Amino acid sequence: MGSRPPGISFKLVLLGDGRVGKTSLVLRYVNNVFLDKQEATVQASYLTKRLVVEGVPITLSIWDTAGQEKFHALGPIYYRDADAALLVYDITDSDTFLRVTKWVKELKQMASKDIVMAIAANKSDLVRLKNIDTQDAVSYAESIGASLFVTSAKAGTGIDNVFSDIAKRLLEKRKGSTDGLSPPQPKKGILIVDDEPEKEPPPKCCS
Amino acid sequence: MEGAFRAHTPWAGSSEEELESAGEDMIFGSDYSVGHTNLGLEKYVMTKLFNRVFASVPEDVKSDEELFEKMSLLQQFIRPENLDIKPEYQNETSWLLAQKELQKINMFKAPRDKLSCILNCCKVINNLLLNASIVSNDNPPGADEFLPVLIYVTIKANPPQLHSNLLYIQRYRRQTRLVSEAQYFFTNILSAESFIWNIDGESLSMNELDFQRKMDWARERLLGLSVDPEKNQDNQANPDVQERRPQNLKANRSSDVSLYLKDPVQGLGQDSRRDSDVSVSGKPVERVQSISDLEKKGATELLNDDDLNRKFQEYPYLFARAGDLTIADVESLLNSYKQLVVRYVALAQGKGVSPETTHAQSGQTATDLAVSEEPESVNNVVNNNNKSEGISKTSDDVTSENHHSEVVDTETPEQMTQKTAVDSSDDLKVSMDEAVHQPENA
Repeated sequence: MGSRPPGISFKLVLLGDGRVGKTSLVLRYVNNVFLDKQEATVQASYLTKRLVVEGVPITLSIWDTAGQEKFHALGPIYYRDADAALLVYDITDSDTFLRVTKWVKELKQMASKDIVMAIAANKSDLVRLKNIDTQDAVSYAESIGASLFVTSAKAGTGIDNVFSDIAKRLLEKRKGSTDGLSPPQPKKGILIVDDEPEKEPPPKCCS
Repeated sequence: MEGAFRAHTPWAGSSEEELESAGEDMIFGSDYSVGHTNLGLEKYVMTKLFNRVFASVPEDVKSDEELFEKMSLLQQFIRPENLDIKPEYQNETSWLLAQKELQKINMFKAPRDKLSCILNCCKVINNLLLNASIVSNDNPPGADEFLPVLIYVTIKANPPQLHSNLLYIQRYRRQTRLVSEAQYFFTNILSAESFIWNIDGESLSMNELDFQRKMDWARERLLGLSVDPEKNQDNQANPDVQERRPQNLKANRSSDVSLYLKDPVQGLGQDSRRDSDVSVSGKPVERVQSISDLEKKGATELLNDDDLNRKFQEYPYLFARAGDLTIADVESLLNSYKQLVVRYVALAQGKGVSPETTHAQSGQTATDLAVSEEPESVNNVVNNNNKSEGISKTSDDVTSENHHSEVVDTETPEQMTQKTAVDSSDDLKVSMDEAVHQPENA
């Protein structure tokens, strides 16, 4: 804790209703690969994942958020300075998709304007109970500039794709914004240009 | 700040990393930095500036008071279910540990140390949730499980000046250190604070009317406790308790309600704490503090106490580090520990008995019956530990029915505990007496 992870680091928030299986999804993603290396997971609310995209090592800090309706208003505290948001819904429950659209609206208003969004249509193993047409969801995702992935935390399908898509798009944006991002040098003590607005005085959190 | 630091001779040529660690060294007591300077820069500077910058603006002070009052009220009736905490994750007894960590926040001045209290609190919660998830064969806890518990624990712990503490950490903890996991958990407590500010019926899964009624009830209950010393015959022999009463008022001064509860509990579910039995029967509110209330009250007073350091100096081990101890200390430490445990357990047990038991009736609740096992176990421990004067006195009390303040005279290892001991000693004795008499009554 406290030390900055190596490579370029991005903050990703997970948004999704309480029942959609956000936690399983991210655990599946983080633990599948690092099962041997990582010490036993103590909690799943904050996880980091290192990956290499096009030769660039990056670290994703994955911030879980409480999905229950009553905590909805707290969202901005978490996604304010996020680089990416993964929105998760349950294909068997249309309410959870409605909440995704609600978050998207808020993100457009309150999050950083070039936040990378992706939508995960989770619980695809329960396809027979499906309540939301995938095609509709895909066109919705396109309309908001996000990509949609069909996932199943249970079967372990589609999950890697979501995160690597996010990582790729994050990297592209970063490259675009810093114009020819210098490849990370193997020297230690390198300063990472951070796009988090850390320099400004901390905002008062309430009232 | 760092520029000047770097320009100073011993630091010339130091790398970023070394400079960074110099800012933290004091904590670890290490001297691996150039020049063997244990500077603890942030800690040093902020400790000096603390009085100037902590809660120094009137608005912050006001927010602190409001938040404190709000949580004092909420903690009277809030239940884990109100925050959607699943039954398999409910563990109020163990959450006390997390509350304790959070309550330590005012014992430190350095931003790093204050932040540690929050992180430790979160760690305790996570560990408890993890255990629960293993038992119920669930996933490791995510934010859905964590945040509600953190909110609950924060309300129950109600550390004074929480708002100012959080602002202070945000402003003065080095930004490069408030990252990753630390940042995540710190964000969670900010979010808990925000939730608590905006709490209403809906956010507690109850209708607004119920919520208001419960808030009123809690206010009356706190007030009843605070302003009615005459009605508390229990305490008349204990001037200390009465002296401290007015302090309770601070948080509740604004409200002007009667000292008697008319029938406020009607709207409350069956789950309200058993202390509320008193009000059901229309009697005046007597003693309704819980152990943690007492402890918190004591802690708040201690913090406002200019002699704070002197008080703690009497306890040589409190600030000792493991390396400072010798083998000779083990025996006295162990004795102190035993005293502390016995006293705490006995107090907790004592507080579990409702005020009604003063009028010792038989055939009461399960808790009362459970109490009857207590003196024996206490005595057992006492017998195993005859050296401890304080404890033998407690056992004397049980048998001799001699009710007053010996506890105050004993040499306890913790003044904080002692403070609460003063407050609740009557209850404790009542419970013990009753326990002793129980068989005859039954």
